[in-house]
Amino acid sequence: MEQLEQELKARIIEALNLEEMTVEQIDSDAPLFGEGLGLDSIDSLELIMMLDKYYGIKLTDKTIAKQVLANVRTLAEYVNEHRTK
Amino acid sequence: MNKTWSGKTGGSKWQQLFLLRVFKHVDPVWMYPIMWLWVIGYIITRRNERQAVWYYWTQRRHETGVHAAYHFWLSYINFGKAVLDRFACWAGRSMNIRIDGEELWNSYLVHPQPLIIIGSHIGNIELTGYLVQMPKDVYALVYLGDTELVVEQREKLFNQHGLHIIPVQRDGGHVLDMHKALSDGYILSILGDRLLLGSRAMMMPLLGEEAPFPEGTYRMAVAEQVPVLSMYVMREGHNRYTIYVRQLSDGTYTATNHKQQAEELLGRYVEVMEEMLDRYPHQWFNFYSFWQQ
Repeated sequence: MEQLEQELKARIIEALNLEEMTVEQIDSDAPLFGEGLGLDSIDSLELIMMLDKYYGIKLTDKTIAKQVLANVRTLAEYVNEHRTK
Repeated sequence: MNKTWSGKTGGSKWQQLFLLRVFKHVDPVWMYPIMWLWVIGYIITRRNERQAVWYYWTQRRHETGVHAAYHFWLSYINFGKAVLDRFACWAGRSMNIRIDGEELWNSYLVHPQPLIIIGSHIGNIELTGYLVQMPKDVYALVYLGDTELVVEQREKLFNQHGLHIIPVQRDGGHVLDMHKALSDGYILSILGDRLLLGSRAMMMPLLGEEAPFPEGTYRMAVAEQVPVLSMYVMREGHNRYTIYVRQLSDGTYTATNHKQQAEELLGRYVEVMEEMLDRYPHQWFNFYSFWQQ
């Protein structure tokens, strides 16, 4: 799981052009939105598209998306369970 | 001056209902004398709007004295006519239209594909889906700050023409709805010139002065990597409109990262906006302090 979390952090940096950040700077339990990484709704769209592209996951339910995109750990757990790629 | 747009159509529910009833039987032109009186009252009582329109003519279009006052008045008259036409269409009246950019539009009619249409409050934006045949159903992002009746009429009319509303949600949940509409192959219609409270802005010069535009609109379009068009419904005269269709992007960009791509897209959007404003300077209907938001 830890390896997947590292991979997801790298994907987040790539998808959102967070060039000034490194994988080590992202805390797996820190919120992705709001006071954590400070991402917004368009960033969530980019992450949803990233999940589709790399893991074959189509996230369309808003409530589930909110839970899944809470932090890197919840994201990794969901990817681990639902990935088709 | 107003710092953000309130997102409301003017008039009470009963005034709007009255117009819908009247236009079922009467041509809008018969309402012009009442509209002139309404415009005078509007100019006198709405200081913020008055200052914004005056700023547009004196500071951005560099008109002075009597010329500025004349154009200022025409802006309101054109706005009044556009509003009356809107209610006339909602009441079931038809307009004569011509499409500029017909070849481009026909290519999308022949080969429907997911696409984004970014509109502006120039001309009669509300009539786009009503007057133009769309290749697929359209999902329009709408700020539901309007009166119940306007929303109800809009929805009724929209549904008859294969148009659906995606309401703006405070938590940003509408972004997923918009993504789903495009993923399902539909058309997404969004506004590119309205900055709602709390939304992030991208700056770009418009008519020679830096103005804020909603960052989310352009970032969303870039992220989706689908063709992006701009459409303008411009009033030519009584019951006559020209619809301008312009391609802003075919879904590819010369810039490499999304931020620069969004700036590239906004640059093209503003270019088309200025083209429309040069042709129809009196149909600029952002009656609030657009440059100072």
